[in-house]
Amino acid sequence: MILWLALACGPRGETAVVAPSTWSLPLPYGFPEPPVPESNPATPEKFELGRHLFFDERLSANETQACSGCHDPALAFADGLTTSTGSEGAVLSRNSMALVNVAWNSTYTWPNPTLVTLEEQLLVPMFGESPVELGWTGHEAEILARIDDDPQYDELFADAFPGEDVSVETVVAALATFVRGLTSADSPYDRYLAGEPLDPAAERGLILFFSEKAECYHCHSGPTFSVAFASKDRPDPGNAFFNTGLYNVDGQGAYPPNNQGLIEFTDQDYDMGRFRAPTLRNLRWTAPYFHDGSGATLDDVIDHYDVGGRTVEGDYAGVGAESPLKDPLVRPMNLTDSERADLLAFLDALNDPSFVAEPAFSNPFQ
Amino acid sequence: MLVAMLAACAGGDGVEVAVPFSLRVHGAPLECGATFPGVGAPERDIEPLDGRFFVHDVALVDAGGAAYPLTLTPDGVWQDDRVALLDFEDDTGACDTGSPDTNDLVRGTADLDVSEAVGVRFTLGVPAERNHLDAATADAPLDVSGMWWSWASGYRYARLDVRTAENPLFHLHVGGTACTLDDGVYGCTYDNLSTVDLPWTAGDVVALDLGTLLEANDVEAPYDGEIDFVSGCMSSESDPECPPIFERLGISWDGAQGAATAFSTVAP
Repeated sequence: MILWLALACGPRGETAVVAPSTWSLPLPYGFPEPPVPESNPATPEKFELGRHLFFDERLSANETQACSGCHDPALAFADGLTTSTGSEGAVLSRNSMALVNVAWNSTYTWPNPTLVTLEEQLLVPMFGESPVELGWTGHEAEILARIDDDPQYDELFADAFPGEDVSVETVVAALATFVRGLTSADSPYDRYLAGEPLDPAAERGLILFFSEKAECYHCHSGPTFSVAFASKDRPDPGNAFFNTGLYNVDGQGAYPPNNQGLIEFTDQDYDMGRFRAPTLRNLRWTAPYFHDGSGATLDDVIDHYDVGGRTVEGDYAGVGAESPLKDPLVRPMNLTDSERADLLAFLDALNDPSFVAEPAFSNPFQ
Repeated sequence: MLVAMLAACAGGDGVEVAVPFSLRVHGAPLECGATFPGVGAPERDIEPLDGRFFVHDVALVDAGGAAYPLTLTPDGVWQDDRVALLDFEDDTGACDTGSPDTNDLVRGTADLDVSEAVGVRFTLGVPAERNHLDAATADAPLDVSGMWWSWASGYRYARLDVRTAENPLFHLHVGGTACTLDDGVYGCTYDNLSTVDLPWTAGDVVALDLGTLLEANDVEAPYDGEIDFVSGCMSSESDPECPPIFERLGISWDGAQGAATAFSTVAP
C-alpha cells in the first residue's frame, strides 16, 4: 500500500501503476487485456509460428495427429466427437473443448484447478501418458529435430524467437500464443452490444437468459459467457466450477467413476461433479455438449436444465434433479415452447461465422 | 543467525561424500530388456519399462544419532544442491520413456568424516515447494519430461513401470495427490513423501528392490473401471493396488512415516 502511494504520487501526479502490456495481438471490442505470462508476451510473430505448429502432424510422436486433430477450426476448434481420441488410439474421457477466447480463461481443461496458464495446460496433451495424446514423453528430441530440420520453420522461428533454439519452451510459447489469439467477438450478440438490432426472438431469449427464471447467466456471463473469466488486472475470478446435476448415480450426487470433476484434484466430497463452466459462444459448431459429450444437441442441453437436472437411464442411471450436490440455481425452468425457441434463438446469436472462416486461424499447409 | 553462518562456513570445507544407489529385483540389478521372474503374489515374470526416482534432503547419521545434511554438488544434469534424480533405465529393451543416460550416485559434501557415518537418511520424492510445473523451464534435475506429472501439475517422485507377457503396462507412479492452487500457491493434500533411514557405512549401496516393493501385488490384476482405473498404482488411496506398495515405501496418506522396507543397504 505504501509503495503504491509512493508510486501513485509522482511528481506529475500520474496515477497509473500499470504492468507493461504483454498483448500485441488484436483486442476484441468489449474485452479487457487478457492475462499473459510476462515470460511469454503475445506477438504476431509467435502467433504465426504457433499457427504452423498447431496444424503440423509431426508434433505427435507417431506423426499422425496435430493439435488440430482434436481442435478443428471448422468446428470452432472442437472435434465433433463425444470424447476425443489420442494419436495412438487412446479414447479420452472428456469432450474436446472449443478454443474460443480461451486467453481469458481463469483455468484450463474441464476439471483441473491447477492449470492457470496455457503454457502449463499444453504440457498435458504433449506429455500426458494416461492417456497418450501427442506422445512427446521420451520422444522430445526426435520431435524437435523434425521442426528444427525443416527449412520452412527457419524464418518463423527467427522472427518469433530471435537467437533462441527450437525447444520445448519455445514450441509451447508459440502454441500458447496462437491459441490465445483465437478470438471470437463478431456474433449478432456482439453487434447488438455495438448498437445494431437483434432478431426479436433472440432478444426475448436474451431477456430470459439473464432472468431469474432461467438463471443461465450466473455461470455463463461476461465477454466469454463463462464466469471462469480472467483479465490482466483480475486474473482470479474465484470459484468457477459447478455441479449441474448431470448425474446422480448413487442418490448422493455421484458422477460416473473416473470422470468426477474437481473432486479428482481436491479430494473434497463437495467437489463431486463440479466442472468449469464452458463458453457458450459458437455452440453451433461444437456439439456434442457437456464434459463427457453426453448431450447430442442443444435441445438435449435445454431439456437437462429445464427439469433442473436430467434423468439418466441405462448406464449411470439416476435422477439429476434430486442430486444433493447440484448447484441450487439449477432448478426446473418449465419453459414454454416459445420460451425454448427464444432461448435457442439467443444461443444462436452467440455464433460467429467469421470465426470458423477466419483465414488467419486456418491450416497454413493447405 | 550466528549458528547458521558458522554452519554455512563449515559447509564450505565439508567432506566429499558419494552415496551409491541401485534399483534391483530380488537382489539383481534392474536392466532394461531383461526379464525378472518371481515377482508379486502370485509370482509373475516382469520386464522393466522405466526405473527412475527422485531423492532429496540426503544426510549422514553418526553413531550418536546426529544427522549431517549433504549439500549436493550441482552438476546441471542429475542434481542441484538439494534434489537428485536416480535413473536406472537406459532407453533399451522395452524401456521407452527415458533416455540412454543413467545415474546411480548422489554426490555432495557433509560436515562428517564419512568413516564416522553409521546411517544414511533421505526423502523419496521432490520437495513440496518445488513440486509444481510452472513451465517447461525448470532447472535440472526437474527438467526431465518423463518425470513430469502433467495432469497433477507436479512430478512423479518415482516411475517404476513394468510389464509382463499378459499385461503390457503396470503403472507404478508415486507422487503427491489432491493438489490445488490456493492463492496462487500450489500444494498437495497428500504429499506422499517418505523419509527413509537406513544403516550405512561408506561405500554401501542404497537399494530399492522391486521384488520387495511388489511382493503383495498381482502385477496382472484386472482393474474394474469403478474404483480401479488403471493397472498398477498412480498414488491414489482408493486404488486397491496402492496401499501395499505405499506401505513398503513407508508412505501413508495420513502423513505418518512408516518403515520403507523396499529400501535396504547392501555391500558394494
